[in-house]
Amino acid sequence: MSKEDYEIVIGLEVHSELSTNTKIFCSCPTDFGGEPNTHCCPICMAMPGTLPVLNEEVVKYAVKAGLATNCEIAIESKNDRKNYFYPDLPKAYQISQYDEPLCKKGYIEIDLGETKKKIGITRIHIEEDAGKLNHDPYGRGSLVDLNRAGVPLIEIVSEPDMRSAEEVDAYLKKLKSILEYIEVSDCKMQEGSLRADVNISIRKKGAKEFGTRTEMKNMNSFRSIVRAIEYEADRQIEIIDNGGKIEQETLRWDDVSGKTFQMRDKENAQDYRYFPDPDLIKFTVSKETQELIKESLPELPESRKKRYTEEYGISERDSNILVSSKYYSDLFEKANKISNNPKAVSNWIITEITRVINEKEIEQSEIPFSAEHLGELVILIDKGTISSSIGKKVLEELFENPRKPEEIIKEKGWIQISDENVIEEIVVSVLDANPQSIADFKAGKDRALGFLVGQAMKQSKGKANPQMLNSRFIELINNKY
Amino acid sequence: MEIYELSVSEIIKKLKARELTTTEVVNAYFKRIEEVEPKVDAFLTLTKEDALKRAEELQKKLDNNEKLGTLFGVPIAIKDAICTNGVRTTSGSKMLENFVSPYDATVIEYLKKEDAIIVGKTNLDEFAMGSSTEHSAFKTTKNPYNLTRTPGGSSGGSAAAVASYMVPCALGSDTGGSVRQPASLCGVVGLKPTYGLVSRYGLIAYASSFDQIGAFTRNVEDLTLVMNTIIGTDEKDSTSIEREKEDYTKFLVNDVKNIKIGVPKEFYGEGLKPEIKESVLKAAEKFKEMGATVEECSLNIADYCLATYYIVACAEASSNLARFDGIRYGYRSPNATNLKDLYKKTRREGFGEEVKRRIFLGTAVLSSGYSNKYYSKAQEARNAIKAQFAECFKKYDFILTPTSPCEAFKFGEKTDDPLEMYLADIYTVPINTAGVPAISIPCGYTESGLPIGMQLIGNYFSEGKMIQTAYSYEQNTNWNKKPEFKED
Amino acid sequence: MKIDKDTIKYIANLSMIEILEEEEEKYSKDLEQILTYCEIIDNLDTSKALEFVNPINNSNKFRKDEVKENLDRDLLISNAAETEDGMFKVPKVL
Repeated sequence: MSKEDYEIVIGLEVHSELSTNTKIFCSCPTDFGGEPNTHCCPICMAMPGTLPVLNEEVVKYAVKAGLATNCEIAIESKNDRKNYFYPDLPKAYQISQYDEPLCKKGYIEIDLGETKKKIGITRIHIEEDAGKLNHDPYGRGSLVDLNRAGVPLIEIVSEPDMRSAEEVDAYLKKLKSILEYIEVSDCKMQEGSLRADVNISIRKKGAKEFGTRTEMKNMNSFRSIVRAIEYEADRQIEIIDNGGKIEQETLRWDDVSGKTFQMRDKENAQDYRYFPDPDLIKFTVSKETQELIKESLPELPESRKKRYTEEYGISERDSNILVSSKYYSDLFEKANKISNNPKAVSNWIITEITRVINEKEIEQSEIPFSAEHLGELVILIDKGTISSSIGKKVLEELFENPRKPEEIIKEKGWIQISDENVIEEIVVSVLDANPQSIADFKAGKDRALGFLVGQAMKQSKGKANPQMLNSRFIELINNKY
Repeated sequence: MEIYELSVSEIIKKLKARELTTTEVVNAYFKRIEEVEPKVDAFLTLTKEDALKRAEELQKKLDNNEKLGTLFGVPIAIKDAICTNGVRTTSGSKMLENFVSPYDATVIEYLKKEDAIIVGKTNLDEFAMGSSTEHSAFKTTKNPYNLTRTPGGSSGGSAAAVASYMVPCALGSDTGGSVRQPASLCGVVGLKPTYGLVSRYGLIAYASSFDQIGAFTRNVEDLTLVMNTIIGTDEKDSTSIEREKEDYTKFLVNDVKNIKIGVPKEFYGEGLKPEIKESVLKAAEKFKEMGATVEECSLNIADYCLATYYIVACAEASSNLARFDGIRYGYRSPNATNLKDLYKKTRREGFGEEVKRRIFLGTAVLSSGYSNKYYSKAQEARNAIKAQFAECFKKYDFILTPTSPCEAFKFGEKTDDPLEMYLADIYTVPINTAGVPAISIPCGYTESGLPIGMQLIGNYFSEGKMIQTAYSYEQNTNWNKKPEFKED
Repeated sequence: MKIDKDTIKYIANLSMIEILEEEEEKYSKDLEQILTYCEIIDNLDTSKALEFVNPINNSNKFRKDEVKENLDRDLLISNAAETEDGMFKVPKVL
């Protein structure tokens, strides 16, 4: 049997830290980093006698996530305790939701080149994060930092609908963009605000039953998730192909060696003794509240993309890039509102701006200039006040020292030369200096025109209006030279 | 009359009338404590310095004509299960022997705000699990009426401190009877309010859905002053009820003409000591004399309640006590070589027998395979029990029962058989199971001079009428025998 | 529920409390006695339970998403037996 005879079945459990101001059950800040145990209080440190109180914003964010992924939202909800011992879990139980999650039965649509596919979302529930265990490199022990203990999480469990690492990648990217769009999480895998555990099994193509699955943890980037899936699928296929059995176990992905290993520090098949937390009471999200929250959601990527392609005539490929993040999409829409030239704004974002942020290795959210600045830049080019090549210089300046483009071009003296007399002078002087080009042009060599225009641009230090140059050259050559 | 014999209301009056100073009052009580505490052993920690400092500050307040709190200058003792900022809080356990709480429980904040003066922390059964205070890791509190007998539990220290005049009032906690039963055994008044009326924030948890902080006093009027201080919605406790505060002193009215009292026959049967039965039934007659309607009724829930209580309370406790692992605070075993060992040895060495037993019980009933049989069924039973109480309260304002099936028992009498100890709670546990309020008030003494208490159980939020009923009985009787610290 | 030696060992393990071999019998007997007594709830008619509506039907106790000042870190960890660099120290996992 070969690999092609097998089908890979993948489900994902994604944990996303919510970007609320405070933790889920106490008023400590959720900021990342900070000196150990300085974002803590008696409650999240599980001191005797302390009690949890639910952060209303956490419920709101979780409902947003559920609505944005087409889930049913429970009207009445409760919290349950999941009991187990580990030093990063101060109460020795995690307050979570067990049998009645806040959201369920949703889906996300992913793009796979030509086709689309719906990936089901089984459930989304709210829970608290654990602290951090810093292991001593010499194995002498560990140090516990509880800054992260109590940070609110939503756990998003997908149906086992994915069939390849490619689909998983698409799903994660889509989920990430949705969560960013509705602004419930900053989804930074490298900071741990987005984590994914992968459940993977294989079966012979056409089989109806699922195979035994393993769970993989500890992948810190989309790339390592893809690698882990490919590795584990191969490993399982080899075992099954050779007549063996898959053990249901939890595995740790090791990025350095590119392999999975059995996890030894947490026991498998734990009895969590779930029961409703008696320190908390039920909470409700009425239909009216759900409606209000739904209305408050920003337009999601799918819908925006549709608008861009249908209303603005922007290509599918370009639209995808524009909606890849809320920053880009908002940047596009706001800049377009001012300049009313969607294709131009789109081009700037997709080519120049993307190039620069990649070069500078900054995030889209770190673009220092505003959408208004971009809009004004496009207007200046459209009006002919500057050429597009000056525009590129203005853009660079916007990255360095953001201010109104008008100010920049005034300061730098980059206003395009559109004075007919000046243009005339330049054209004449270039024509006089390049008789061979005139002859070439007359002989039908189009490139000669480009050369002449280039010379004129050089002479004017890029400031001459290229369209005017172009037409003047043609006219003069045809009529005077 | 000695200063320490004054009631809460008398202390406040005399301070305001400047017949006494706050410092005089505090010193008088500490003198009494010096005299009596060696016999009774009610306290785990005394906070004399802080108390005198506070007394000075309060006297200044009075001298400056500032607004004074509802418990102005009143010394109060606090069960050591309630967290007090900067003061050792042990919950009677080796686990927390040296734990200094970095925060105040909400009720402590309220007491401080209303100018009460905390005198010390009292002894209890470890983690409030017990009915005799014999399960304290540190010392055994004696019943002031007879030093060879227990004061009851788990709030035995607070009850004994009030009964022996070491403080005029004290706070305790009641999960299955831990305020009412010791109140009854020590001849004082003890109230467990409706679940949710008093904040649990800062009460070291035993069973979250049963625990309530309650109060001990020597008379009903004093109780109303403490109630007015500790009852109130708390944003830090999700189970705290949103309700407008009442002034319970308004119910100090001697009138029971419109009160209907039910006497459930099931609570007067087997297992109840005859002297106690006689006393409580006499009290029922007294209520009739006073003009109340008193009838026999039926409330067949006691056994179910005990079973339900032990299943659910221990389940919650097993989870609440899981945080005690020696890592962030508390006892840490010096014998551990690896992490698992740290957990297992710390918890073995830090917890006493009774606590371990209840944790095991709780873990068992929650464990997979058994949780449906025990825990889920017990939750259903709990609802059925609430329904039964509701039926009763359609006909009656209050249900009258003995508080305890026996008077104060000798040390060691019940410690061999845990089930027997649990049966001591049979009359009090149903109240916590349903979440309704109940009060224990003295209604007599045994032949040998030991206090007998009766229990009035009311519907949710019936504390006002309950005060009125208890107060009326108190005004028409005179159960005021002082403890004699007998030694045989 | 029958509590034999294996069961009590399992429960003690789940509760993370060490018990010695000689203690196993007393604990299992105690637990069995109490749980047997508790089986009395099987006899209770709980059909009424479903109809009962608790008058104290609390719901929706929320907290505003506003940061409140914390206690000093050193005070918060002052009760810990072993700390290092402001963190709680625990021995190695195995």
